[in-house]
Amino acid sequence: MENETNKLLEEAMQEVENAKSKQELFNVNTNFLGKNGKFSALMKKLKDVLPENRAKIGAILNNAREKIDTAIRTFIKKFEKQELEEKIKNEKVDVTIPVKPYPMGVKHPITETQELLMDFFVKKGFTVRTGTDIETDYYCFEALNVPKNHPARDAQDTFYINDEIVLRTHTSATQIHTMEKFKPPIKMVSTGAAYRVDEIDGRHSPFFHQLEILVVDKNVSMADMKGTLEEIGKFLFGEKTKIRLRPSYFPFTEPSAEADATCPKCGGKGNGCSLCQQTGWIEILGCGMVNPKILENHGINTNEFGGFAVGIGLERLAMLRYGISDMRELFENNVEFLKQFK
Amino acid sequence: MIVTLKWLKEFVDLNGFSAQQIADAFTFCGFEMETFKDLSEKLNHVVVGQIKKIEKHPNADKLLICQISDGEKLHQIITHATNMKEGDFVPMALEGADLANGVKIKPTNMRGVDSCGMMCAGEELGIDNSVYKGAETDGIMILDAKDCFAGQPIAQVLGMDDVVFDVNVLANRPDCQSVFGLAKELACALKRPYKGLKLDYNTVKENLPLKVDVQTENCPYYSAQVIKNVKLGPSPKWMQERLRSVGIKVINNVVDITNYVLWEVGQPLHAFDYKQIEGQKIVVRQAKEGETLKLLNDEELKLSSNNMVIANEKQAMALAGVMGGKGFSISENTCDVVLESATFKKENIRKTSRSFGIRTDSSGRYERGVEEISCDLGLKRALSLFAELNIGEIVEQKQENKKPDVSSKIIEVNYNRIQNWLGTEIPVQDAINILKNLDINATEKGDILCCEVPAIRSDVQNFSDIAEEIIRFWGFDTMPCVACENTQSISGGYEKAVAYNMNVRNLMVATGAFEVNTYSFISPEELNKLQIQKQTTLQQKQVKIRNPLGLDVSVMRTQMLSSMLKVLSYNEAHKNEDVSIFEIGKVFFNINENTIPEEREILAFVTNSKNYDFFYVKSIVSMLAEKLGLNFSYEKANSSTNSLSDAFHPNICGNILWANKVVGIIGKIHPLVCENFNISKNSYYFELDLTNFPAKKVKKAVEAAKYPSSIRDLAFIVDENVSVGEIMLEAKKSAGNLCESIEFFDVYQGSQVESGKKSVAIKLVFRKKDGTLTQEEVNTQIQNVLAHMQQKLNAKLREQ
Repeated sequence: MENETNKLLEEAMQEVENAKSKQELFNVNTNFLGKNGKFSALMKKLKDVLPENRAKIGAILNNAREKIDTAIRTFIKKFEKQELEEKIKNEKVDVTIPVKPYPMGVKHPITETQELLMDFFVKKGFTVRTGTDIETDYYCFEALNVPKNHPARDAQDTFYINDEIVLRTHTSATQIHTMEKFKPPIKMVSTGAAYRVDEIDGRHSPFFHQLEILVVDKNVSMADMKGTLEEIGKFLFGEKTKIRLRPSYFPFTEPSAEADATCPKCGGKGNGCSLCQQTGWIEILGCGMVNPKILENHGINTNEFGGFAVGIGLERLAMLRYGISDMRELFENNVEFLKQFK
Repeated sequence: MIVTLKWLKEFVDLNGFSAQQIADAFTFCGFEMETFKDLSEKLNHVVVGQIKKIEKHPNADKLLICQISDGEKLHQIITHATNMKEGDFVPMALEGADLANGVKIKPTNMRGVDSCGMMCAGEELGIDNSVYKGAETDGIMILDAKDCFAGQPIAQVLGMDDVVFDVNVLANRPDCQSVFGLAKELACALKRPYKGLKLDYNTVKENLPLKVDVQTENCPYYSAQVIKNVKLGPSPKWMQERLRSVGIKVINNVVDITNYVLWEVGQPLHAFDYKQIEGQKIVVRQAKEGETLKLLNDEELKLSSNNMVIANEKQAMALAGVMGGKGFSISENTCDVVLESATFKKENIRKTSRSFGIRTDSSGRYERGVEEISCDLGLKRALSLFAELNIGEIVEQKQENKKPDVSSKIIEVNYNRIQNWLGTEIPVQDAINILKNLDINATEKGDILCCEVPAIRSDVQNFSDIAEEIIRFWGFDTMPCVACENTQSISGGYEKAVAYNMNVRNLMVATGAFEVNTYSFISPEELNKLQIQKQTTLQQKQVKIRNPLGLDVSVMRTQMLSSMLKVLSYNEAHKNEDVSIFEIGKVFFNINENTIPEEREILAFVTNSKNYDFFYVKSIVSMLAEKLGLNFSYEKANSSTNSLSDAFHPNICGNILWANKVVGIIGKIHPLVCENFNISKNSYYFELDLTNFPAKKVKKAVEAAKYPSSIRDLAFIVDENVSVGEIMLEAKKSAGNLCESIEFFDVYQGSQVESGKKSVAIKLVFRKKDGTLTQEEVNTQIQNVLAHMQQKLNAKLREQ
């Protein structure tokens, strides 16, 4: 029986080695180790063996089975590995073939610019607030130190719904609402759409967007405003940006100023630059110390508290950032134009 | 406000400053320079020449050779012209000249003879007869020997040796709507003294009777003075040149004086013909309803009691502050002149000027505000010009309704407060000097600065105004940058709506849609193009703009759909394919006259992509619901549940519901609406009203399931009108607590099912939290579902 076993083992090992495919190995497995295989037949003879030898022969038999089993498994793995290698060899991708990018959409450049600034100020502890597009004359003008028939109303010609209700000409009304509701310290951003009677052209639109900031706190001075403007300038146009103030007039602020930044295109050199018309400077915003009359109207003692406000036109800023020369492109919404802002 | 260099030089010594330096000085003290232009730019290298000799050209019949003197040497110039003779003075353009008509002068040779320049016609110098008499003559312009000399720059002869500045004067400085006002600012900016106005004149005692009666509070101050025996004629050359250089038409010496003073001092004046003042009485009053007045420009006005007039005893002679009336002003027959100098309330002038659409230099200044002290100054300046030109006798007596208020006011400010406001240290003596240069007399009393502000500066009222005056001329350069370092720190953030919209916008961008930005005002026609019925809220509650730019932008929109379809249409017209766009925009609904309208924030999306259908668009809404933590349900929409649904395909349109309210619409655009907007017929749209959605709550985590689920697929045969939504709702109701979820996976209608019926397949997932389900437990539930569906929807299980 031992010899028989060894012979069978040898035979099986020979067949394993000769097998040319996984299927042939499965056949070997069936022929030798299967239910009706040659080893099963041999096993049946075990009962004829003397009881004292049964354990020994049994062990030999099992040992042989295991050897065959291991050999089959090893050779199957070998074939599988070959198959895999073959398969991998035939799987090819030309990684240089161009594709269309995953189809994400895009935010409008005005929104992009607005979010950029909101984020900048929120990180500095400002709260972003909005208001209604349609306002009362009081909040849009009178509370901002522009009484009825004030000539300053000419500068921002207004769409009227009736004598007392207007389309807001700026987002400053939100600042008044905020001062009514909250006590200083106030650090806020007001942003949204505004409207003025302006014919549509390359630099004007009757519908546009603003972002304004207001700071009211103890000992706030115009130097705080200048420092804040410098930070905005650097944030928007780079570390080397400088800010220059020119006196101006807004009824809401006193003193008032307009701020220029060194031209981001020529770096303030000016010569030959088309963006800044060779001046080296570009106007970016209007600003000033909140008129003490307005603070006092809201019960804020101007001996102790001061405040400043800054107003930025988002269309103009977006045009500067992206090098857009005609404002109408922002409202035409041609997707071929918009997709470049992805 | 236009000012010229020569006129400014009357008041400030500007020697040594270039035009650019002057422009910058204006800009950096608060008067932004719009443009400035050197009038002589095109007249460089053009001088007066005297023709010494004229000879025929040896090689050309039609050419003449001239020897022309520039006072020092002779220049040989060849010409075609024949209208000049030896001894004449002519404009001579020499090498380097770049003329108004584009000709650049360089030496040439004509038929063998050298020519070093050109004699000019008026046209070549860019001028006409109004600038110089004879400029339009055919041929060379011959100069008047009396007012030129050989070698003199031609710009000087023409009065064009000047620079014109266009200065932006802001609303707070009506006093600077004048050459004199701006000159004072310039003097302060350049640290030069300024010369005052010439105001001296002699008067005669013999009076002509005249009374002034002011009957309206819209005229705080009125003064009038008579000039007798006026010699009407042209004004002198220098005055004409000045007026012309700032764009004012020259008329006659009297009118020219009033315009000159208007420009120089900023005080509007009006000259009446004394003869026409019936009753020798000037009455300032509100017009009578329906009263008529023919203006100098021949316009006939029908007045109302809102308008103010200057009248005689019988009738209106002028529309106060705006324009004179025909027949009452200066004419050839005028002998004695009454000069008016007054203040009128800006509100009244503004209203009148707007209501008739008439804007004049005079009304423009009154709208901004004219001080009483300026009336006094303007009148005196005009009278001194009458004296200087010697064109009449000024009677001594001035008629006025009261004494003008010319007193200065005192503002006391703590100087430290000014420095704190500016955040800048400025030595007090420097501040005092700046103020002094502005005629504000400041004296120190301890910490207090006592400022005496002249009456003309009504804009200076408190400490911040004084601070502004100081910083304007001190400059911003020494102001440090502090950037709120000393403010209290507070936590910032976004108002709920802002954060919410940002989130929604990010989600929409992730779907591949492009954000657009559209005007909130639209044409009222757009609702009709959307087939929206007249009696709906969308139509009835539109907010109308009283003064729109045009009909197409005249109402505030009540819906986003038309805005989105217009963008789609624009893109289709530009051959852009597969367009998916969205916007978060506002819509507006009228409440009543006294309340600001209701505003709602709407997310709108539209696509014409060939790859997308209703269910793709619905999957975007479902994604939003999931991400925003909202439970939406859907129902078929119709006119009575959503008036916007009339713009959609009647069978492919649904309401989106949240908390039992319609919060949006989804569907395919109606083919007729597509035609109206010129867009493709395969366009899908949805919108959601974001206004009331609550911020997403933080969800408590649920443990992953420990025990296996049991899944059963059921297909029901139902009547084709039964919606999948109903089937799922009823299944849910009857499936019991063990049913974890119900999913839809197929609907079929066709040969395999009876006509008029459809098959709907759903998947029910059962699970127990605390153990493995038995077949019996699941079977019991399934039996319940089957029975319920049969009863409620007449649904039968489809046989496999």
